[in-house]
Amino acid sequence: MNVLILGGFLGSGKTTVLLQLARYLIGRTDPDRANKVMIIENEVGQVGVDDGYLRGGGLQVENLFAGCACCSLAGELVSTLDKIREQYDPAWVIIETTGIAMPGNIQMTLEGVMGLKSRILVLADAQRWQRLRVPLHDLLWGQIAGSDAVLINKCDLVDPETLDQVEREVRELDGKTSIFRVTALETIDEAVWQAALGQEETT
Amino acid sequence: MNGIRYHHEHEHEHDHEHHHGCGCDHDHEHDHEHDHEHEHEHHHGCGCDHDHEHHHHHEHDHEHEHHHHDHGHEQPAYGRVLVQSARHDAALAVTGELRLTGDPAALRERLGRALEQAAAQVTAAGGIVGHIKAALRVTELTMFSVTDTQVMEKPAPEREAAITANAIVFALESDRAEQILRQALESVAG
Repeated sequence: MNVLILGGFLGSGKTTVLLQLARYLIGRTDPDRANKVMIIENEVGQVGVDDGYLRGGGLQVENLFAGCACCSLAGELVSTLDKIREQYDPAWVIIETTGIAMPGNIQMTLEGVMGLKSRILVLADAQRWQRLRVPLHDLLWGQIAGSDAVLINKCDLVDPETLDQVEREVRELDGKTSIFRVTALETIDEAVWQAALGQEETT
Repeated sequence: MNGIRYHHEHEHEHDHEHHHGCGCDHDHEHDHEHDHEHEHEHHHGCGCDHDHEHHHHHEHDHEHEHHHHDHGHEQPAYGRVLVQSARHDAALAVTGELRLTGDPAALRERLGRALEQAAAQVTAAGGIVGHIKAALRVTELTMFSVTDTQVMEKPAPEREAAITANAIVFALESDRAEQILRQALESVAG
């Protein structure tokens, strides 16, 4: 069971990317495998909004509401993953984090408690980056630092100079992460997925 | 740098208990403590699809000042808006719910406009919009009845609709944020 933690600030396009990524993974998974991709949808609010949208896209979704899987709901996340592993054993589990989560904390929890390795893919919102980078610097840093890949999303909504600036600043937050420019409303190139997921980990 | 601080090196401890109304006739406790150790216990098996009694020890970065609610939280009465909020670090999560009847196209239009106004009000009040999201679920009900040999089919004249909305905002007091979301949903109800 491969685990991908999908992070990124609120409104950065996580759910849109998730739908596309899940379809890509389903297409690459052994057709005979009963459960190919499952989603854990985490929202800080008391009720869900995105979970219904994802189910409407034909995906299997488990909910974690009213808290954040990187801290207050860390235990519930472990329990949910335990259950998924025992009952479904899917090829991939994608954890869509809340927009205020620190994906690195989730990764530490999964490895420390369950011995589960995971990858972190983070979305950065090119359109709102300049507006958010000062007031929410700590949060953005906490989300991007330690990630395996960052997708700078909504590239179609900003000019090339702004995009270059965003990429430079993302690079300053994490000098090692792989950075890709995407527009999630359009088809994302397969090469981006392969690099973001780590080719050796795809099934 | 000025900005909203996240406490990356902060360590804190909090204990809380949940008693979930999951309908399995068991009381469930969740105890959370946070420090540098990781421990975990699971006790499964009452058949209600919830995991009960967790002991977690994590190092982490967030501070919470939130209200825990039962799984089966209160449903709003028809036409009445239910709003509640919880704070997670610097983020304030406000949830709103509304059940009503009406024409789906008109509801979609009013909801879209209401959320745009809500976002503008948050910004005007000095807050930062993380996101404001809503789901509109519309139910079409058809009643079937048979008393002799032939079934009668009666579609309900109105569509039932349920709206759930989540607003995550920063730098705004909870009272003001709740008021904004409440007014937005009330404007959808008309």
